[in-house]
Amino acid sequence: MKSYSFSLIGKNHIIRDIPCQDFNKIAELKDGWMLAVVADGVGSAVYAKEGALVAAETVVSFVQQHFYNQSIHELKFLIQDAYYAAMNRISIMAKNAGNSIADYDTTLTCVLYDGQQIVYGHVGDGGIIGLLNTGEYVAVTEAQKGDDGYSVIPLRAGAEYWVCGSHDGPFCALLLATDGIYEGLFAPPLLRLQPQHLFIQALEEFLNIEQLQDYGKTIEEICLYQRTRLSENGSLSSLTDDDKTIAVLINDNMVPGRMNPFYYQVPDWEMLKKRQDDLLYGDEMALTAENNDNNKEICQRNEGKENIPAGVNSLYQSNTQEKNSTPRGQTRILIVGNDGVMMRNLQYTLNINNYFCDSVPIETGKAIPDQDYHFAFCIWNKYLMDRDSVRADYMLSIMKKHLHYKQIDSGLLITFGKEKTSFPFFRKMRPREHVLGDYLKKYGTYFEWYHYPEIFGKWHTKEEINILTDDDFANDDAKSLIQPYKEWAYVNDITAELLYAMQEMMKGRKPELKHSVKKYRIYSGEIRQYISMFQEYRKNKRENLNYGNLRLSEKLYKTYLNYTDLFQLNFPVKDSKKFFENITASVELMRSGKFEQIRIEQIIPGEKSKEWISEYEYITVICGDGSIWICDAFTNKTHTFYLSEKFLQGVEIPDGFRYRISNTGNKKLIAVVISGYFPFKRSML
Amino acid sequence: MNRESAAEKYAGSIRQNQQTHVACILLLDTSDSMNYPRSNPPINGLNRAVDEFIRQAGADEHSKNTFDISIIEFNSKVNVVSRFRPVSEITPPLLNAHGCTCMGEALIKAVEIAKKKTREYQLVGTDAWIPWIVMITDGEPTDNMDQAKAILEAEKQKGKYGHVRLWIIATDGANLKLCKELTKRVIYLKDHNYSQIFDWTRESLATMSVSRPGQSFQMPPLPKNAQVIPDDWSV
Repeated sequence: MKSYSFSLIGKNHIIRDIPCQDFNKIAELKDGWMLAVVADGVGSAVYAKEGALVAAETVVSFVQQHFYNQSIHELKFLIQDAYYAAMNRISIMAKNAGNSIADYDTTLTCVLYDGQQIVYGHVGDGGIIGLLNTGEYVAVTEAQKGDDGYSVIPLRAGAEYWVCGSHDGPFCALLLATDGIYEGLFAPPLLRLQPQHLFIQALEEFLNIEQLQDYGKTIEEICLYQRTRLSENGSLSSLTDDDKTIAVLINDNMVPGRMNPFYYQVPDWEMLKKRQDDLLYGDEMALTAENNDNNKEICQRNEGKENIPAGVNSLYQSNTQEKNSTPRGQTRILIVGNDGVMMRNLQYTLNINNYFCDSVPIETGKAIPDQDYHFAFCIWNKYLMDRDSVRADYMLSIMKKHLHYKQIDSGLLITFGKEKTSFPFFRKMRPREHVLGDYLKKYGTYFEWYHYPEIFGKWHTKEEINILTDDDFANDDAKSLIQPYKEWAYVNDITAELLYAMQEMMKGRKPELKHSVKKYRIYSGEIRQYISMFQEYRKNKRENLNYGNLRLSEKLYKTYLNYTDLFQLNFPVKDSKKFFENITASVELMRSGKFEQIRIEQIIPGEKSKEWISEYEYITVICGDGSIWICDAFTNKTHTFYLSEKFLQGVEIPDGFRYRISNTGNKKLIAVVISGYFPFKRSML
Repeated sequence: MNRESAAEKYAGSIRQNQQTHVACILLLDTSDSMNYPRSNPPINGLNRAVDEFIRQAGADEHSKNTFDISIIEFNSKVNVVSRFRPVSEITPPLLNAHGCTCMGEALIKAVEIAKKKTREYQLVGTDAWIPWIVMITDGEPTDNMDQAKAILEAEKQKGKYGHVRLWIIATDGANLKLCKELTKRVIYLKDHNYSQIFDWTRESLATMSVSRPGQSFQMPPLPKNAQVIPDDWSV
């Protein structure tokens, strides 16, 4: 594995006599893993340089200290914990110096790379770009900006804004960059409306090992070359006046493939600028995909094919044999759209039903695999897609391109959420589902369009529970609870219906939906009421209680506790010390702005939980016996508390302490961890 | 070196074509009071100043690519004289003064247009600064100001995430108390010589356009005929 990195002061900083506020670090870890971190101190923060330095160094030292052979899922948590540690360290540093934490604002982007797959963390307006072994470049992260469109989201914004994820790759190389160079060269704003958001040719010069060899024999020579041309008097100095930082990791044992020649075409910057001006100053903005790119040549499938340059044709030949020879003779299905509970659940259901399924979440910027498909699902959240024209247009254009070269026999458009957009600007526009529907029809695809209300449901794997709580209604729609009511559909009901519709359509029949998806009307506060009703029901274990919609309660309950079996919790609890007096059942389960987050830890006898960093947490054991080990991260003083279901005591852990829970009993331990909120009387440690 | 560097070849094009935009609404009071004194009507001075502002900004290489200007006048009604255009494409208007001063309605319209512009920038993927509304007035509003005040207050509450920056340039006859309620950026003009304050506006916008988001920048000094009320305003 090879790597190079550098931070260069920007012209603006030199003129104003401000030091370089960027910082980068690359570290080698065990088992061939590498860690790269870049941080960009926010210009308006007085101690931005110190903030960036401490943030990057803390992440590196924390990961080095706690890295062992963890699973990918655990590594995501490791990065999140490292971000907490960085924020805590900055917070303490600010407090000691008598400054505000805002004075140390910084962005922070990091990646763990084993030569193929990655685990990353990101906050701010920099980003990570990866080169896949196919030769394709993908933007792993999105630049985050404030509502005003230009302010920076700093580390201080908190875990809500931190993006921790993973990507299977396989990646040949990765680049981390701060905003000056990220937006100045690799992902320029002019390309934001294009299907390809990245300046591929520039990336080739920084990531492709074959091209890098032109710049030097050793990695040091290459680094010096890149550094020189980006420096103040270098040939690329005009790109930006801001500080410039890049960190590059390259697996030199893997040679990237080549994409089709179109992929490496240089964008026509003048034309893009003209298009942008047309959109900004034209009589009416028309941001539909029809106006989105220079696609006249690929509007008509038959006409377009004649326009394909020689040599490229073979890359895009429609191959029906290929479709019929998918692995194990499976039917090949494509899912394109918003990455969320619907897409994942559908993919999971299709896979267990032995369909071969390619899923293209548009958030990842991934291209549709070069295949024909028997069936396609296009899924979008109506509200998001109306609002987020960039993603929507990207989806439309990749679908259009695919349809031009490849065949999809039949398909379903699925929209869900609010039907009517609240943005007057978009009311003038033709709904995107109509635009996509037209494309599908034009290219001979038999399709149907279904609209559903908001969806609730559980994630398909136990490991993804944290994503559920981030993405699902408990969090995102907490605000909507103040509306009088909302209609939701259960994701498994929808999936079952879609599966039926797909099978019918593939036989050339129009699906008759005799059992349309049931919609649950949920009034404000009713979720809480339902959950508490269900707990009551479970406690009494009486079948015939008249508690209204218990089926929904069961589903809701399962949604939140889908990693433990229903009826398995050791209720009813004896609350003799009145710890739970002020807690409603919903507090136990809901996540909202007020209650932050509730987590249930389940540990088998003799095992320990992972090591967490506390964010003002309260822990109580409701089933089993255990101990909680707590360590002050700065003084290394430790404490151990013993907890048991018999006594229902709670342990309160202040911010910044490390802790883990151990099961010391002989049955499964279940602990409830409440973060960031204390309905209890505070006790001293 | 075997290959030509695309990054080097197109660095200039990329930079030139994606500069951060600066949007500014000139919200001009053209009520009847701008006709007085008859000997030297302020409306003539305003017309000259706007003309000069547009010509000078349009002639500047940097400003012409980055300034998006809209002109709105208000008298008995609100009239969008010029919707947002690059400054080099705007024809200087010839404004006539007449009627009342429906300032409330004008401010509501200006905020709406400014917010719409911000949204358009975001949708198209253009980097842009928060739009400025520069209001020039010499009189008392004749319509209800409650709604305008509420809208501006809501923007103020958002702090740096608000979607507009309102500047009020007030001359003799303006209600300074009301102006201060609307924004903390009030400039009192001692005479009706608007040229210098328009120069100052142009220079301020230009300074902002070359700075980096997140960085504070030094505003140019105010002309001699202008006085800041109160003196704690900032961008």
